[in-house]
Amino acid sequence: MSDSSPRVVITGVGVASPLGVGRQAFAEGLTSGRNAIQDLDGRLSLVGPGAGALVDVSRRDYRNYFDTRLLRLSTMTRQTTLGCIACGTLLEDAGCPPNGEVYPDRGAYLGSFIVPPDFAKQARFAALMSHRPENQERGYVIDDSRLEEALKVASAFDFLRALPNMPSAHLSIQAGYQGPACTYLGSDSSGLQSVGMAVGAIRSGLAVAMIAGGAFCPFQEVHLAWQQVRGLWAQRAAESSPIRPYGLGRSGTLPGEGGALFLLEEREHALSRGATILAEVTGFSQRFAAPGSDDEVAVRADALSMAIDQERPDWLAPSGLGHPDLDELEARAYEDALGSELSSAGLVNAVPQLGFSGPAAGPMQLAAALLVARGEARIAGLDVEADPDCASLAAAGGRDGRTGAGSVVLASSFSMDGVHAAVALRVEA
Amino acid sequence: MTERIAITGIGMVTAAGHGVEACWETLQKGHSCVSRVSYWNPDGMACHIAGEVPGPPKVPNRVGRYDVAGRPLSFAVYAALEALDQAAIGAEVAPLRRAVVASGGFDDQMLPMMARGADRVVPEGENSFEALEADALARAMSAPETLVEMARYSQVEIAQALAEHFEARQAITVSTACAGGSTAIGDAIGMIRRGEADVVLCLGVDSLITYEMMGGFCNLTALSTRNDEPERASRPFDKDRDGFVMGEGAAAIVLERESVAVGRGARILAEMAGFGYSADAYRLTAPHPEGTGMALAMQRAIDDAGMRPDEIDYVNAHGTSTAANDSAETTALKLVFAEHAGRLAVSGTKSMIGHLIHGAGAVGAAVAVKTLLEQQVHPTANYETPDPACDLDVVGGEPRSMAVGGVIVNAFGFGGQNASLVFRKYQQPEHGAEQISH
Repeated sequence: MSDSSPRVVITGVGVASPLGVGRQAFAEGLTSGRNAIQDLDGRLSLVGPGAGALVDVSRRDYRNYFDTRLLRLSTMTRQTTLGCIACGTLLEDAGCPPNGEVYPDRGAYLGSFIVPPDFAKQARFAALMSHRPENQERGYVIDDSRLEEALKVASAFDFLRALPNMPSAHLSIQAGYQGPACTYLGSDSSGLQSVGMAVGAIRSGLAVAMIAGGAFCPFQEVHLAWQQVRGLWAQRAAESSPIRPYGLGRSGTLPGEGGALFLLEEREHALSRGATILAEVTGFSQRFAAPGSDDEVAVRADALSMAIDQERPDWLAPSGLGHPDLDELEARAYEDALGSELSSAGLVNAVPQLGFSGPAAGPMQLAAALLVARGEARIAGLDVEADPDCASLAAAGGRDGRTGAGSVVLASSFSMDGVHAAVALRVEA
Repeated sequence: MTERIAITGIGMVTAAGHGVEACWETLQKGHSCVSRVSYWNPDGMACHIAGEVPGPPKVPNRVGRYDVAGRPLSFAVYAALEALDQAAIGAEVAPLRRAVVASGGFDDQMLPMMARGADRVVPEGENSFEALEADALARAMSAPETLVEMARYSQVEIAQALAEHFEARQAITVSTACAGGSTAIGDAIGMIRRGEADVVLCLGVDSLITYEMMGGFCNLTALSTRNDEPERASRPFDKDRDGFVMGEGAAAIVLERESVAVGRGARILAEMAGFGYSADAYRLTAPHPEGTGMALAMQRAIDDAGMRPDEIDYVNAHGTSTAANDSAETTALKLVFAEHAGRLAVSGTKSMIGHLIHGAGAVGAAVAVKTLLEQQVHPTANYETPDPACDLDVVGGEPRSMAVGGVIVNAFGFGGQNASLVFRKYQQPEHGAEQISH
């Protein structure tokens, strides 16, 4: 973009996290050091790691965050709901709560993931699938007479809930925003991708303000089991610190649900409405490298270098999953991109407290880092012995950076499927 | 001034055939390709018909690390390879300057995988739906081979698979439901203009002729139930329309910075002139009855192209053949084009191939390019009884040869997410034209 492109600032943070709902509760939860990972029970304990972090908000409290007459719960998956809760806190935080008006020049981008919304319903559908001739040839034995019964079980709303664009469609309706709106999918980096694409939308003049971030609920059997097979989940769920980013003995991460959103605005628009500017988005990049390819580290490093663009980062918010291979690739990429500047930057990693929320994890890390860089929160590092291969991103007891106006944050999402994204911010007073 | 964007490749596979030329030829005939569903027995639901792709397209067995299996990935790969073959991008465009933006819906393979898992744990004779409930399925799902297959076929990795093949360094997957293919193209335009890429492979794909998805749309009463006359079921803007017909397939389009395309001597098929997005911010299940969101997307696309409304000659309409969409789209066209609305040639591709959902906007884009090249508008099948609520110049019956300089393609998604694209007949840059930058 040319230098005349609008500067883009952050004027609000909205969070629905296992540590609390809303910017202040999230900051307090981070600072408290509380670990939200808990044992799961019921069906969720049958597949996956048996532990994770849940957002504690009851159904009757939804009305505190969004208009339950406008948005029908019957059309919302858990991840859509988490997005709308985060959005409610975001719009309050940014000083522009929904007021029944529509705003043609504001939009909403959200990173999420397709997961069948209801396992039992999907099971019934799966049974139906066996009516395909090729499946019958394989000897499936589902009773034909049950077809109509099964179809009735699946309501129109079940179907609607599952459409992949629904999370962002709900945000547009919730906020009354008629500008660009879509859901980015396909990888755990799609939350930060949505932030970057929203910045691009504003710089391109498509909108003066954009809601952007991620929302996801991994607590669905299909997803838990799938990630188990991919080797994402920690094997040490019984320990007090099962997620051990960059530490010796790390074995994976644990699931956490949540949503983290930002209100991005043209600087002039924010100033004209008297908004508080929290930070300016100074850089974004996204890259792809096939997993296992020779240039995996180089491509990740390139994403970081493009986003930070010669600035000196004061805070780093990497993915930090605690995964044996991903952590090492990440540390090498940071070393290649930042060199000696790496050791002087503070580290922010909320994943051990919050679990890993897939597409929402990048925005969640970015929100945590922004609050830490602004001095609104602190995160104590884990007391785990550093892996020498990841030492540059490991810091027993934590590592602080410069806080306050002018401090620079670099956050990244590096995903298992090869899609990587990075965002850089500069904190404002 | 923003540098122009060239279109250097298109690909398509739909019910009308495999490949752009086959599809275009079929569309010119105005014959519907809708028929009774053959993939499974549809008798248990209200709608029995769809626009199925005629036989599996010829594709390589593997793309990158991915086995090309399942209809969505097969369609995506076919359309993408056709578009890339035509564009003939070589080493002159570095991987860092390449990107893939894809839009796709559900994977028709995921649920059969689950069914396969279910079969392992449900003994014969105990095959009630209750027996398929969570515990049994959970055990089935923990079978590693089932899950690995699920992961491999996951539609959300279509962008990654194509990026690996195209050696692109950016891979994005976006969804706005029925507007997804157009949103992929709009995002790509933005990326090229912002200098983030020089060449972008854009793709829209879906294959929702599945029992569960068609069942869902039936429950929304969105599908035509004209089961006895499948070829007459999809009838956009016709007074007797009663819902849309599900289609399947994919379309791909290669967008390229004009200077890059010219520099490497590529044949430029058309100019990708502009795009516009909007959200209705109204309801999840119905468009705004006054078409305000649709109109906003169209107006933004025309403005973005730097064109006047009267420079648009042809509308490739969203035209789903539902009562609500077609009347709202008509209202929106009148809002944007005013008196020029009556001079616009309008046609609905879905009348012949059904609705490709995430693929629909990309198909519209490929059709727009062919329209500009051939200077011919394809007819709308089954446009027999004009609807007073849709009083547009709908091209019915026969194709219309006419001068077409500008085309607008509409795509409007469930949830009220809208995207319009504007295409212009390509004109060579004038010698000595002013320096342009992005």
